[in-house]
Amino acid sequence: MNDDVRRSRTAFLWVALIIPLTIIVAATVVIAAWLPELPDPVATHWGTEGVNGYGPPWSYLAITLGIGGGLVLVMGLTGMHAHRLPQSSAKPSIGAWSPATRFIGGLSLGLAVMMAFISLVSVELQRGLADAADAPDIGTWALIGFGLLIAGTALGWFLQPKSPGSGTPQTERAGSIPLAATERAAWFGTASMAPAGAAVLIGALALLAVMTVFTVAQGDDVWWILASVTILLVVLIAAMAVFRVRVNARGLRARSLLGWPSNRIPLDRITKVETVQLDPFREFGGWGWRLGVDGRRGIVLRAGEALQVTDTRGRVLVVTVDGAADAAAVLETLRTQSTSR
Amino acid sequence: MLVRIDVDSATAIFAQVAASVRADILAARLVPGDRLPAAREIADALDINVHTVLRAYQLLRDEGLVDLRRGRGAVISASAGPLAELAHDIRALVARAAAVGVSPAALASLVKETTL
Repeated sequence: MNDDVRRSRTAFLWVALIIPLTIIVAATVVIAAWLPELPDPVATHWGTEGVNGYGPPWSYLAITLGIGGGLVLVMGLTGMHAHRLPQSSAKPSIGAWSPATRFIGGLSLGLAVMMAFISLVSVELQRGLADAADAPDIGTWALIGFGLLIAGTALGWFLQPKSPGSGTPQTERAGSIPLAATERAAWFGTASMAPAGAAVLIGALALLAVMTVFTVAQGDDVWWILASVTILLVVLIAAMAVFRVRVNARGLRARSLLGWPSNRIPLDRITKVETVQLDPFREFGGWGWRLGVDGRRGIVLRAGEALQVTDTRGRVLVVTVDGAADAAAVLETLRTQSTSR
Repeated sequence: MLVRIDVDSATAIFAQVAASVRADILAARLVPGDRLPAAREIADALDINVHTVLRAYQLLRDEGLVDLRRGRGAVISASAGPLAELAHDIRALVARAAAVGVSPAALASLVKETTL
């Protein structure tokens, strides 16, 4: 770990974990002090017609500490460890601090500020009320909270130093295989999700599932929105866990085991074939079927060696397929053969 | 996994497909437990008949290199593992045979006829 990474890491620790957790805990302590002055039950949810959801007063402690603190912990720990997650490839880690991690740090601070603010306002407005149904509308306050989310995220971003080590990716031109003019060749490979990536996705999913259960238990009338988001995410993660990659005279095809999503690049539209060392979190902000910070499209399921193909329109596709160098050599050979014909 | 065929070659296409798989096992690019692409997938990628690929898979099964199970497709068998360890010896033997003027075909026949 060099000095730049150490400085970024320390800044992240403060911005993404220490400050947000302090805010969350402080808000929880204040709410706890106000509990005796609250009506029972308290209003926990507002609709267009005013209050439409109630809960015991302690639900504010649970929401603030559980969901607020939980989100901060998930984001903070993901960011702290992302740059040195284990790789399935034998190549050494190329981890450096990334803009994606810097953004997560900012978001963690922004979310903590918003959660603390909205919880505090919701509780403050109900102090001394006999019936929670009389609680005034919080629509304006919620909007201010959303503004605080953006402001807090921006503040957190600028409190951290510029990310070091975001140099150009190390690319290597494809090799070739001996192939006679009368020969046909097809290469088949698999790109599958690294355990570290799967762990982060399942962790996020578990948190979402807990939140879903919480809203269902509260009898919130919008529970189905959260439930459908959860189901959608399960399907998306399943669709992106394993990709089958094929290289033949028709070009490159990378298709999910489920059949969707699928990427194809016809051979005559390929202009450049390379292999590249990549870091999912730093360059693509995570794992899956993604758009990179530099505009590359990627099927990014693990760190290490990946196949990188540029098409005639200058679009770049990266696939973290095992045996990427072999795939690149076959594709490059087929490409040169077809253009020289 | 790389499959290569030459339609102008005197060798039957199914034998060329099987040879491609064998070469990958020898180079340890395919290891026991690895699943081969569906026969239909290989046939489609190379514009050859699906029965040709199935025949190659059956040949590999008869050689004990591949397990064919209904519903699971073709999987590299456990007995294919030691093959990669022989890669070095095979290369050395072929090189020595070539040095003394014995063709690979003659060498293959001699290997087949050798009993221990």
